[in-house]
Amino acid sequence: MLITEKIDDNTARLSLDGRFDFHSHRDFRSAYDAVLARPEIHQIAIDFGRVDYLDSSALGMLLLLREKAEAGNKKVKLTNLTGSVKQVLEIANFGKLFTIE
Amino acid sequence: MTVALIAWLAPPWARVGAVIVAAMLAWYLATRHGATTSAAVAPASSAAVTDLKELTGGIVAATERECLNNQAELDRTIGLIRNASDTLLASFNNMHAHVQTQHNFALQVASKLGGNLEAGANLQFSEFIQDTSKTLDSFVDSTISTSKIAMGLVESMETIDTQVKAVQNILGEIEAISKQTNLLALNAAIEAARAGEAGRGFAVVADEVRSLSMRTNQFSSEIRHHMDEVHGSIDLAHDAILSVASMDMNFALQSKSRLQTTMARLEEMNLEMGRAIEQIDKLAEQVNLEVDSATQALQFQDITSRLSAQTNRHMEALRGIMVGMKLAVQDTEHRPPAGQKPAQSGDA
Repeated sequence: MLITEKIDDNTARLSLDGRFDFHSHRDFRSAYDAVLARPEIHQIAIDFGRVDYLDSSALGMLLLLREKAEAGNKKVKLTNLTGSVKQVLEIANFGKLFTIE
Repeated sequence: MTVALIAWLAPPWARVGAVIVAAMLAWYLATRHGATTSAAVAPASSAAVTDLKELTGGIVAATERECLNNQAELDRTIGLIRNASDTLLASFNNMHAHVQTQHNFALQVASKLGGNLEAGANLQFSEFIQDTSKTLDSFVDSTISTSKIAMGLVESMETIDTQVKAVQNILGEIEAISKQTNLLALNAAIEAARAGEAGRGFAVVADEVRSLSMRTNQFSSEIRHHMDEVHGSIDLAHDAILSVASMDMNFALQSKSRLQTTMARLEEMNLEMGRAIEQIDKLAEQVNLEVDSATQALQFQDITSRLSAQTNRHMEALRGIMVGMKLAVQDTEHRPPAGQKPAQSGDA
């Protein structure tokens, strides 16, 4: 999975591209660790527009990110949800845990 | 007489008619005969009167018998109609009761199968689906929380792996130092040998330093070996966690959609059941209406009874006429032939 980072004011946008599964954990963690380390960032937006597959480990990673972000007073937002990615996040009830756009 | 005999073989209504016609004929003959007797042929009159009396007596007796027979047949007909209509009424009432029972059974079946016809009906199917849906939700929840814990473990192991790598780097430093020390000790030993007797003590020190550096190198490589094992174990654990943490979520999607399909089909079945029950309801209502109108139609029994009674009365009247005729004929015997008038006889 490819991750590109873009910073707008106090929002960091991480755009994911490809399969979001167990094998992405190093890339994903290093991407969000870098963003979490920046105090001026208040919100992290994860863009799923180019993600074609999600497994349960991806959901686990998102929950871990949420925990760490909340500990640093940052919010996590999930954007561009479509197709099966959207369905999986709905079944997982992520709408109650994250802001979804 | 011949007319009366022919009439005997005819149907009852024709018989009554024939008898009346015969009576009228006899009446006409009697009055004419009386007139001719009074006018001209006096000696033949007593024979004619006797004939007429016999004829009249026969007609009156036949008519009375006919009337009695007809009355008896009418009574039997009324009895038959009454029995038939009673049986029909009982059958229709039974039919009504059966339709009601059928309707009740249909309602029971509908409520048992989970139809939404009645409030508080036992929705077993729907409950089952809801239970399954809840089970699926909790399974999804536990899968995700397992994944979350596993990914937390993976992060911790990554941290350990980073530490192991740091230790390995430090070990490289230590190894370099010990190599350097070894080299220095070797140089010192060479310098000590060149110094001869004076350098002998120094050679011993140089030798010790060399053996220390070699021991350092040995420990360092032992530590490196252990660290390599730690690294290998972390890799193994990483793979083991992969199998726990990485679950394909499609199972949940498929189960969810199957549940939704089943739910929709159940809904459809309930609707169909409702429609069927409604149909049965309507049919029962229709059957009730039919039974009501049939029961009403069965009141023809009363009307026929009344009509029969009327016919009975008509028969009675006819018998009365016959009796009157008999008396009139008897009267002609006792009257003087000159005093007879057709108008008087008509009164009887």
